[in-house]
Amino acid sequence: MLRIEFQIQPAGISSKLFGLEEQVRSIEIDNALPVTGDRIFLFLTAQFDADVSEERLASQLPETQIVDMAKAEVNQHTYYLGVIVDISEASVLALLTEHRAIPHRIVGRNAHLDVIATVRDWNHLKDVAGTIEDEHGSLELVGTTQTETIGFPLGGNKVKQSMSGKLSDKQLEVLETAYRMGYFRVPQEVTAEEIANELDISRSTLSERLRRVEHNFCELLFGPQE
Amino acid sequence: MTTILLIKSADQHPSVRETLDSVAEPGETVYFLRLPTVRCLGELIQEVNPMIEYDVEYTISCLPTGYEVADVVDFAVDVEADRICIGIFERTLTGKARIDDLTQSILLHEHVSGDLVVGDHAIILENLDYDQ
Amino acid sequence: MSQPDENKAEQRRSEVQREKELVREKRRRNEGIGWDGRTLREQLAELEDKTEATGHYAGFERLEFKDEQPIRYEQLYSRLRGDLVTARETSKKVSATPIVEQEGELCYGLFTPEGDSIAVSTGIIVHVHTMSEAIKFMINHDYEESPGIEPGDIFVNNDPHVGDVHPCDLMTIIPIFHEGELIAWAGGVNHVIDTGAIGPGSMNVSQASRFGDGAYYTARKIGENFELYNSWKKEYPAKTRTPNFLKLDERTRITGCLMIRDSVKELIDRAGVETFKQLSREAVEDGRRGFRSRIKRTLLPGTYRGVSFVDALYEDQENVTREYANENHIMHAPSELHIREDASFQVSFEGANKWGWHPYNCTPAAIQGGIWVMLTQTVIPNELVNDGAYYACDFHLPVGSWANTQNTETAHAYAWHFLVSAWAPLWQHLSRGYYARGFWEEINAGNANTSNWLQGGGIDQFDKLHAVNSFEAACEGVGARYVEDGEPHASAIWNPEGDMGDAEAWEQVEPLPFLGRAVKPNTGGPGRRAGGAGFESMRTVKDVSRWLLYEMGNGYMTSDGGLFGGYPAASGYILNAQETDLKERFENREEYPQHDLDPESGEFESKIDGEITRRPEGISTPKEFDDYDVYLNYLRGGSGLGDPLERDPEKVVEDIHDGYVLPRHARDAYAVVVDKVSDEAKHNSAVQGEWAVDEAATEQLREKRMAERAEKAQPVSEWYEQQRERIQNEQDLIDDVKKTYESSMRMSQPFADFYREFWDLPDDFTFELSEESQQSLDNRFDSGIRPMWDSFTRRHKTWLDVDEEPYVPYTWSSRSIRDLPDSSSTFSETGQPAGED
Repeated sequence: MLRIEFQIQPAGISSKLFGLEEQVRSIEIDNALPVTGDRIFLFLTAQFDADVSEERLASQLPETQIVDMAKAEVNQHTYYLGVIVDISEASVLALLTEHRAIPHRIVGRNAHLDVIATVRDWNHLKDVAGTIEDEHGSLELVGTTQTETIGFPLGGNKVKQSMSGKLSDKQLEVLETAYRMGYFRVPQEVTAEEIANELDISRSTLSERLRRVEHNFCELLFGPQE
Repeated sequence: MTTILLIKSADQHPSVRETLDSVAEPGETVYFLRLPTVRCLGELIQEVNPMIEYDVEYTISCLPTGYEVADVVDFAVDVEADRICIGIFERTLTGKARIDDLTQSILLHEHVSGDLVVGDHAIILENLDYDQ
Repeated sequence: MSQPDENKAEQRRSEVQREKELVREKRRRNEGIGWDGRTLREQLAELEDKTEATGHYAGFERLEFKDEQPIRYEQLYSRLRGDLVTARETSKKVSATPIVEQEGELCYGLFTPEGDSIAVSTGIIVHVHTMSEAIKFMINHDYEESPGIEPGDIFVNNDPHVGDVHPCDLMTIIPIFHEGELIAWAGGVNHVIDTGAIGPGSMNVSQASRFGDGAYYTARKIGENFELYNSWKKEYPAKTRTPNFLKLDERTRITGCLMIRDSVKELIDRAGVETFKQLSREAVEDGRRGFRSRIKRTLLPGTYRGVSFVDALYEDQENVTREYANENHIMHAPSELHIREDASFQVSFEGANKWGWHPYNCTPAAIQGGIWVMLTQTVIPNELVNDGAYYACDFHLPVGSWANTQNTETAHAYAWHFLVSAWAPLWQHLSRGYYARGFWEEINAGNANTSNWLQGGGIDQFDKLHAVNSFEAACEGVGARYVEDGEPHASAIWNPEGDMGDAEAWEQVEPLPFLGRAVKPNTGGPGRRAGGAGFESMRTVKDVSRWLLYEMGNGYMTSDGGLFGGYPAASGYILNAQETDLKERFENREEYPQHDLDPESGEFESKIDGEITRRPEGISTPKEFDDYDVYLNYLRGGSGLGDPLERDPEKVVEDIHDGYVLPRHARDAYAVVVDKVSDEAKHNSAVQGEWAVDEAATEQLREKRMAERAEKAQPVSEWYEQQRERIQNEQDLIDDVKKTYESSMRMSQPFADFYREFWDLPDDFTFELSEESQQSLDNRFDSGIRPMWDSFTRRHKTWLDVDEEPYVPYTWSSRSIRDLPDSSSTFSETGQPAGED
């Protein structure tokens, strides 16, 4: 099986959200459930530039029925939305599932949709990509990798998202670099010195950042320190 | 068996080595096809020594500036290539092999199909079938 | 220019324009100038890969053309080779220096696009492979990208690190294109008269580093559309003392290259380009096979071992450019020839000592070309001389030694001094093999360092700045053969077609009138077969100012030891006279010295007054000479073969009458007693009278000599013990000798292990050196390497890196071929190593 990543132009609900007066930073489809007929229940995470109210959204999205809207606790200007739309509003999702491809992530950002999905093989990829291209005008393959398992479908990124709001970009960078270079392996594949060099920061800065990351993790798991 | 290796960069040793080592079979013919971004494969051949080290026959060809994906496909048809190997130069944050325009064009080309295998350093289009 | 010539030039120009358009069109298509759109570098890489993988040049396991149309093949090859010879014979008349015009120090080659020689002319065929290296250098350093290689381009090279023996051999190389493809290169090289070194002449000797060697032109484009750039025309004349000679030499080379280009074009018109390509590949493979099969037929597998030395004494010489160069050098060349069971052939210099602050250092191109020309005089004595031999041999040349400095600071002006001395043992290796296989006619005692180089310069007889470089040295004594004496005053192995040149021709370009020229007795090595005698020219100086002259040859040491009991040739010496009374003697019609045929006779001294220098050394740095000073140019003889006591006494009498042996030396060297039977006859300049053998006295004397020998002889074990003690206690060993061995031990762990083991010395044994010698070694070993090539070719790896050389069995103890698999072992049937057939 092949895990593929591609970019397409937004359409349907995503392009509508990007069309809002309020600036949308990102939208992600966390989950989708069937309603009846051609209607579909979509669970979205949307991050705005500023706070926004349900009324404002509803007034700008007449076709969309907003079932629920909640503000995220940790991430700024981030809302969890539950909406019911026509299935054509989520065309990429529909095209993927119609063709028996497994969608993993559908994220709208910087005026395009970033999609990760699993296909069976090259022919399947051509089928899926061809159909999506017909619908969305263009498709840009970004990457591919070989995979043995289907993996986690939509919404699997939830944990990572909750975490990311808890960590600053710099902390995330430190954590990811340390992880990728094998710092958390036993035995360690890299020294702190090497990571610090890689990031062009001092060793003390590195260890301070890593400690803050661990602290924030614990806070998320166990609540604030007494 | 006949293999085409698309060469996008003169430092493409890992993908060349991977292809010659674990994809191409001894005695088969390999076509090194360099893209306009590469002027010469001499250094790479001197480094890899495909015949001494991997026992493959090979020839070197090139594509001109402004070539189209159809030229690659025509070339593949001409030499009756069984596979096309494309070097992986970069990976996405999630570890996927980054696909460039040429690779996408070949992948989505209507007249070529087969199996797609993603290796460590190369994307390999295997068991090619040409539907002309 | 005559009308036909002009038409031809015009035709050439328009061809080039058309070819250029095709090349540029290909470039727009991203194609290279090689075959089928490849770049040259790709083509070279592929060729080396294929050659090594298949064991056949370019993978040519079959010689289709040669096998299927043998007559046609020979026709075409012979025509190419003939055209190369014609190019040399015709173009050498363009040159003005007797070096080229008289003596023929010129050679042409036709090369494949990858730089392998297909065929060569006669002449200094050492450059078969040096030009190859220069072409490969251009290819491997992407000259195709910049400065570009296009139809009509002209390249020059004289950089020994790139592909040359020494910088006075200037080469012109032009690419030959057909329908937008580079199908061959033509190259010509000649020895120029002055390189613009720190002293006048082509091979100055007083410099410590390359910065005194003269101008290096590193594989450089100097023209296009067959026209030299103005920038080049303005540059090099000022860099030499002899611009007009160099200009004419350059015209010579370009003429020859264009003739070769025309010849190739004609062949392609007649036979088609595919035939030419096939022919060029097959010729190299054929050359490779020819060499291998010759080895198989004439030698036995195994390791042949020997050694040679030569001196270069600089202590207290004047005009040495650096204080740290004020020291004596001895070249140490431990030589091994490995003939493997697949008949492959490796020359190894493991244990060679460090390079030095003198101009006798070598680069791999020099060694390979040099040894290779020597091989053409014995292993490949036919016209199929090309780089096939290069592919049949490999060379182990330790990096950092005099044989492969890999340091662009080292001087190379007279690399031949070490090179020819180092090939001395190789003659012996081959001769021993020939002996074992019964090829007695091929056996030769050796042809090493027989030259003296008369060089110098200043303001000449035409009141202009000039330099001289006598090539009388191309005519020297040749080593004795098993079945015949060596040829006297015949040739030099580095230019087998050489000649001494007419005295009048030399006098035209040198303000050095000849006082005499004669065969020099006692210079050939005594033996059952005598080494060929050398000759000498006595020169004076006339109408000069600030004129310098110097000597360059072996001094205390002869590099050839003689073979099978034969003796070495006489070593060199220096004889000059200054502040002489020659002018008065001429005016008074008195006797003056014409020769120095018997240096011990006092004859020379009796015929001249002045400051006479006579010393047993071979090298001097430039010394000022004035009108009526005298300089002896003494060209050495070859070494002898077999016990001189076995020489037919009648032959010794012939030698006396031919001027090769002085009567008293008949006794000393051959134990032949001769009597003068008449005083009248004058057979030669050296000896008066008619001589005859006293047979009874001779027999008696020979018996006595044999008895003396038996008396003097001792068991090797005793001799070994004495020598061992001498080494261990460092008795009676001059610093120069100790420094030489110490240098070799530092260069090579295998040599150090071998030396200590052989002499049963402690594991940490080193020689105690003087502070100066210690410093000299330190400063050279600390210099590190400064290689010229950024990317080496695959075949360079045979000498580049010891660790990456698994298929080469070499070096002193552990890797020598000591034992063949079994006692009946010989070459394998197929001639190919296992799995390579």
